[in-house]
Amino acid sequence: MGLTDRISEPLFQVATRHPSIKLITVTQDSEAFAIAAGLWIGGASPFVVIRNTGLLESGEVIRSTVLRMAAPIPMLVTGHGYDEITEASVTPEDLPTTELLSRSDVDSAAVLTEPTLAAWGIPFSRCGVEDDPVAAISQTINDARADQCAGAVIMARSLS
Amino acid sequence: MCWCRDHGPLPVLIRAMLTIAQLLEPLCRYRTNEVVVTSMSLVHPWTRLSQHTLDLALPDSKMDHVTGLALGIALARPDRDVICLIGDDNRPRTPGGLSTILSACMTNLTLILIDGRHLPIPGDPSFTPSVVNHSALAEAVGFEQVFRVEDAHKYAQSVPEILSLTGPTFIHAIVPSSNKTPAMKGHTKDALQSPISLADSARKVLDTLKLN
Repeated sequence: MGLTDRISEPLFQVATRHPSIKLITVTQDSEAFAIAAGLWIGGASPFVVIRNTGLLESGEVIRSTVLRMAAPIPMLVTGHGYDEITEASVTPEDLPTTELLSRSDVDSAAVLTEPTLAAWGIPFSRCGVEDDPVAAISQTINDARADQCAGAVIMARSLS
Repeated sequence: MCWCRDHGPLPVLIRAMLTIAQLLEPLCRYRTNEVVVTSMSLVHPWTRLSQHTLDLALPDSKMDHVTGLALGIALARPDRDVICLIGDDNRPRTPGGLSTILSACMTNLTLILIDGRHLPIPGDPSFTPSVVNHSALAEAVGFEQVFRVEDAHKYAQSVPEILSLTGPTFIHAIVPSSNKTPAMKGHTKDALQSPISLADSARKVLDTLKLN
């Protein structure tokens, strides 16, 4: 469930056709986390697919539902801007200073995604061009279930 | 009809309005095995009436988050009715959340929006009646079951019928509120100090739903 974008569109197309996956789309990113928490309470197994810009917008709902409930919600966060920061010789590990965030050649969403997840206590992994996206998604879902806490995979590559 | 479905402007001099207690008590009396989700200032008055295992209180969550959560439960359990009690603190974001509910095409969700309105004080120029017509908004978004309730007696008689409707249902309850009225203000802190964590509360509802 979530909101589609350029990176996650192939995943949504597969989900639409899948016999045992129910795709739920939302009108704004933050809704996805509240609905996912409700689905979990109702006994379902939600998987949130969200833009990294949407993740940044969703802090309050993540705090007040997913984290407060200790709901084991796995999520895929699309890594918009990761290509751009690589071209700008910036890494996701670089400190998000004002100087860095204000650079015209740097997508600030990419710079802030991982520090934000870390600040919220959400374990995450990054799936780059050399990684297997199916394995990364499976690992994220399995880890969330095993650890009984939310977890994220940042999809910093195309899914096409 | 035992409730008000017209959406005309409220008169400035509002008569005896439904109180929070008059709204919640019949709901508690006629509620059977529905999941009831409450938020913010509604947590405390509902908790005083009900300690049902299917009550879920979110004392520090915003309206859209709470409706989303209720929608998620309703989607996961289409065999179970879900009642969601929300305040009107987050008005501008309402249409998006309502349209998501409609898009989900489920019939087991009842939203009760408590519209706290300041009682007019004769001669008080600061009194400004609420200008948001939530029931009209819900109807415009596409809800077919929309009710505006103001009269305590008629509402109490109508609750069994309201709860039996095929949803999604939107109830716009107009209640008095003022900065001096404890019914709508000041209970969030109490609720936050609940000895049961939200994690435990959510687990309790999850486990109860698994058993039924």
